[in-house]
Amino acid sequence: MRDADDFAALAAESVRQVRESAERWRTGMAALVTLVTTALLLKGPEKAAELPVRWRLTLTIMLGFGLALAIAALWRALQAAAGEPGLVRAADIRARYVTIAAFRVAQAQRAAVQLKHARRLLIPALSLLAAGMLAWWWAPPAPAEALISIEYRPPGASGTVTACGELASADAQTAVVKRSGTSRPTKIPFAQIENMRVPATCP
Amino acid sequence: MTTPESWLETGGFDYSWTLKAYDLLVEEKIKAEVRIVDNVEVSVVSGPCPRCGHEFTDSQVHTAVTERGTLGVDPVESEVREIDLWCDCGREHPGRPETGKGCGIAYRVIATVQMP
Repeated sequence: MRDADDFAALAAESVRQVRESAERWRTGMAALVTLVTTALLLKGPEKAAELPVRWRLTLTIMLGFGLALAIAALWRALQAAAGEPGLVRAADIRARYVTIAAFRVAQAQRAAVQLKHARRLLIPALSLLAAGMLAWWWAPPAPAEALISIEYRPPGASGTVTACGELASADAQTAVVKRSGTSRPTKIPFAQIENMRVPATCP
Repeated sequence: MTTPESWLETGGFDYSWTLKAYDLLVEEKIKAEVRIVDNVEVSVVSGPCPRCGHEFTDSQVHTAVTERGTLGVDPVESEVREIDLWCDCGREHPGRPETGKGCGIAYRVIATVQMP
């Protein structure tokens, strides 16, 4: 019968036990998520703009789902650790659980289930975040634009003019050069071209 | 006024108390049931003590949440449970030690499981 008393003491400790456990789990989970997301931030979010669209889309889906799952996991762990305060009537407790001790164990059981959900959500969350991070490291950069610098002499001009930008087309005896930041491309008849270069960047 | 029975120093765990409790259960003087609500198992046994005859109600929680998970929530395989209890009548029984309960006997009753 001593054993029965010991078990009663164990049951009475249920709520404190599970709240403390949930608190530790929540701290650990937050640390793991921070570790992975910090590694992403070190890479620099603006660097994502340099990735090819397909890679960017894949990474957005992976990291987006990973973050959503991580938030859900932390939310469940927080519910388990902090509880959800509310009013209860002694008569309602006795009608449903018979004793206050059983009600307390039921509260602890609820928190334990919330913590279990948190753990189950965290595994795919961390997997997605880590996979997204690794994929980002190995993603190829977006192919650079092919630039061209054309020196040409417009009709009646005494000197040459340089047009530098992306070569959009070169047919019908006309080269079309697009320069970012300008609305209209420069059309240069082949007859006016005096020199062409392939520069790394445009001035 | 009758003299209350003294605290039982030896023979408190004798199986004969369980047999007497069983007779009282059959006579429906002792009522025993186990309720399982939200996976928490609670037993309630009420009726007279098989030895001193004093009425009392015993309620016990048979589920605990520990760091190794929740114990006592296995699927219900049987519709009955065996409940161990002390006489806890709260009446005067001469010779009872400070840590003792009731008249000093322990016994077992069979309780039916009530699912919500």
